[in-house]
Amino acid sequence: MPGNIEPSELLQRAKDGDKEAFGELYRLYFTPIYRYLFIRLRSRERADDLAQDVFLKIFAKVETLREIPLAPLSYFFTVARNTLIDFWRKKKDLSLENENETAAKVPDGGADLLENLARAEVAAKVRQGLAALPAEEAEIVALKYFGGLSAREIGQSLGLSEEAVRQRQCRALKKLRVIFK
Amino acid sequence: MDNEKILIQALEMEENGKSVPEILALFPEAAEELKEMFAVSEILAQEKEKIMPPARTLDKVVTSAAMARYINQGETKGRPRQPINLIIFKIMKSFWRTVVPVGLVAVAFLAVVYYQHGQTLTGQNQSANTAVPLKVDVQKGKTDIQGVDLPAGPLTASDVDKVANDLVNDYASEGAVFDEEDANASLVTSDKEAASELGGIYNPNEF
Repeated sequence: MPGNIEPSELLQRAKDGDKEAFGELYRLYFTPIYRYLFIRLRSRERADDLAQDVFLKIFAKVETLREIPLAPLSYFFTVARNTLIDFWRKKKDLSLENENETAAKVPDGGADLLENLARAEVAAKVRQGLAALPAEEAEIVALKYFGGLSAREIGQSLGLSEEAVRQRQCRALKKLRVIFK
Repeated sequence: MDNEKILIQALEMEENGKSVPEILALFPEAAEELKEMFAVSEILAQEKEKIMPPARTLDKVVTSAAMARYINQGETKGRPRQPINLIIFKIMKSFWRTVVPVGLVAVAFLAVVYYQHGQTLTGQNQSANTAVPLKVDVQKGKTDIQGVDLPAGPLTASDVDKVANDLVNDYASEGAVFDEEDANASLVTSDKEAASELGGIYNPNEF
């Protein structure tokens, strides 16, 4: 399938039963959704499971969609957020046993130890910073910087105006700057 | 313009593709604050790049894409789409290819046996519940009930009354016979009781 087809067109084709179009959407959106879920959950395994759930849910109901969302990425992220909220509701006692799990895999032998330590330190700082932010600001940072959504798409997903999203993004970055120092 | 508005505007510009040096040049009065904000953005962007889905997940993606391609192969080449059951059969592993058909045959066999057994039971119940119709030969004035005869020729209301009366009398006489048998049975019982009583009071050494 050619790679220049618009995501909304791919979603329309998936709705019409074209499995390959859905496979293309999977290929396009899996990584951003996985990254978003990872930064919110801090667990590879859970992020992987939930990302699979997101795509299975959409796959199961794509043929029954009344109308195709204009911004499919927002739609996918809305499903991802709902899946995450459901997960948190079910696991209220979610422990942070994987809190120390860093995003970066330790490179093979010969890598600079100091560089690895620095990476782990940055990851820990990011984690710490996101945990310190108010829930809405943390969500905006996760969607913007890890999910790759635009302010407009975040606004559609959270029910906020573009301006309101940027305002919260700005405040969050200021707070993170203090934590990173 | 206060700094927060500048920062918000700068974020919008960055999202629309303007480079950081360009933005800094536009707002020299807030350059320091902007630099720090973009440094935070940069850290987050670098952290994002480190997060990659596990290899097995990527494998799943490739597998699903390949499967989708396989399923749609027929349409792509202009052939009609294969039936979904055939597609599922092709995707199944060899173990399930054996187990599933055998299981289906077994289920079908059991269903047939169950159905036939149910039919047999139903037939038996029906024969037990069905009344045998009364055979009446109007021309000869005969019925299949012993002792009940009809006059020859077309039936009238009085003929029906006659048959009904005959049947009632017949059952009444049978009832009388049963009553008589009951009376005899009670006589036998009383005789036995009398003999038993006599045995109780008879002493052979008395005379």
